[in-house]
Amino acid sequence: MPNPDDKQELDGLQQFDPQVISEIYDRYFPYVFRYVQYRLSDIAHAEDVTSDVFMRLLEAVRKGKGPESNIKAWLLGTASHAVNDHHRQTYRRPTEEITEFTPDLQATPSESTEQRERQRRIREALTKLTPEQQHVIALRFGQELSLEETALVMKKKTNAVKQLQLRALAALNRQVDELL
Amino acid sequence: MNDSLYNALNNCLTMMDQGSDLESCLVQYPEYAADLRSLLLAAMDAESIAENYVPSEAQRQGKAKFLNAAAEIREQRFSKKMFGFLPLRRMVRFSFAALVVAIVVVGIGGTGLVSASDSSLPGDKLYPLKLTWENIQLKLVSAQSERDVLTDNFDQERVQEINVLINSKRLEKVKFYGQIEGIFPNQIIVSRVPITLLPSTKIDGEIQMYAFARIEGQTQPDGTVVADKIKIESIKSEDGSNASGNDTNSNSGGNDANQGGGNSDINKSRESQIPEIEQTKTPKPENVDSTASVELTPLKDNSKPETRRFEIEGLVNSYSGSSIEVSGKSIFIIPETELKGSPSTGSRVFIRGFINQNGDLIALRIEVKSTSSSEGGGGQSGGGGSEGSNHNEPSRTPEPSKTQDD
Repeated sequence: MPNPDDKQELDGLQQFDPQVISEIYDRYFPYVFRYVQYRLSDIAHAEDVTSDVFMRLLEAVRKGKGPESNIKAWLLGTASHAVNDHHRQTYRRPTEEITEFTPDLQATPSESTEQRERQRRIREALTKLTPEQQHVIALRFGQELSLEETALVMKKKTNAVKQLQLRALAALNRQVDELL
Repeated sequence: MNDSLYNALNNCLTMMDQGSDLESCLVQYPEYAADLRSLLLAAMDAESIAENYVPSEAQRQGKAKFLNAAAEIREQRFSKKMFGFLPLRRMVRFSFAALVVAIVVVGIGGTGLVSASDSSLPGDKLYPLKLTWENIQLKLVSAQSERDVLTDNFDQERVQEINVLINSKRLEKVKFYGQIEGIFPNQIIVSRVPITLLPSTKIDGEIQMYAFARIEGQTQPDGTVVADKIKIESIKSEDGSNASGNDTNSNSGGNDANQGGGNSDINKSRESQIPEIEQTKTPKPENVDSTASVELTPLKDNSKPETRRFEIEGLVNSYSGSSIEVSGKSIFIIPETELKGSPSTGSRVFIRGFINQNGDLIALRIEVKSTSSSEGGGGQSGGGGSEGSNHNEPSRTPEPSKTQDD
């Protein structure tokens, strides 16, 4: 059951109210962008995919298939699909270097090269997990969502998320060990 | 793996979120310590690559695209609501009837719907009628000078419509014509309307201060217009290449015949010529810097009242977010106004800006030279360097400087 604020937001969204639409974008863009960037590690692609997620939102609402109770959960769930679609397209175009990461724009000179290299390896290891494992890790450790929130986004029960989280971390640990 | 390990992992993650270290978590679950250690290290790895960086430029551009798409869907929905229920034949009949009504109404002129359409805005159903009526008015006027006056009035009406749309946060497609009064990175000011430039914005001609531009775009809730197309109309005719007549030159302050002829060309171009696409360029922010000197540059286009830059230094009489009064002069503050320091009543400020077509002073930069408390001590910062020497004189009578010809 959506809370009153969410209800108002959902109503405005369904009416395509310009003010509400604008607020929704401002409010949720950072979440979606961070999620997508976490999984893609590429700012340019992350921008495109994030934009695509919001377009999907409009299209879904137009068709009456938009979010029913929680816009953030819907957007993050859709972001996961959009990232998976992006990966599929990338695999179809082998000319693109999928393991090449853009430089970390946030890095400060004081950050050691080793540290950046380690982060690059972790990102690479992450891409070797299943999409669902990447999704749960991105939600839990990229977005810092609680188990309950993660369960809501993934449309799973909390216990199922706990199990998935454990398997995902174990897989990540293996991949990191192999790469480092 | 069993339920206890899942729970142990989750409890440890919660503890670490709250500030506990890895070892103190493991102490709690000695039976799972080995498994937990690797899992928690992986969790720390996963957390280490999370970033908070969100590119604001991408957010802004994506928002414009998102809002445009939403507006299009809203329009489609509205059209469906209006006409979707009518079968084709009835729709044709309806359209025909609407056309007849429009012709009759336009025929009798100035009454009924036409009057009602006076206050309509882009996106309103009566708005096309308003534009049609304006076109008819233009065609009915034979004297070029009267036509120019009408054209100017209609141009101003477009700008007012946009301001109303912006104030009511309506997203609508708009077209208007005005003078470039400010150039900033990714934004220009045209007739006091902030125009956002996107990479997708088609720009015909070179954006330069005081040029006239035709803008097509969409109003945004943030008070700007995102431009789809910008056509810059030539304002310069220093070599006389545009000179071809002078029948409409209403400004007697023209410097020479060539400029007068150029004006008439501008008017003509607004009537019928579509400027050739010379080049596609993004605006040059340095235009602002290169022109924003102490020197005052009059407009080279004499078809409009001259627009000049000004500089002023003096004591602040009053200050609000939207305007500042300095030595009796009221100066508007726009979102692009650069503020250096916090002006307050009694403080001494140096302001640089421009005077728009309406004679309003618009600040581009406000620099606080001394606060009200330090003013009595004669504390002049003496800064400004290249800003010129005249504004460093404490006793100078503050007023917008006089104009100078190029």
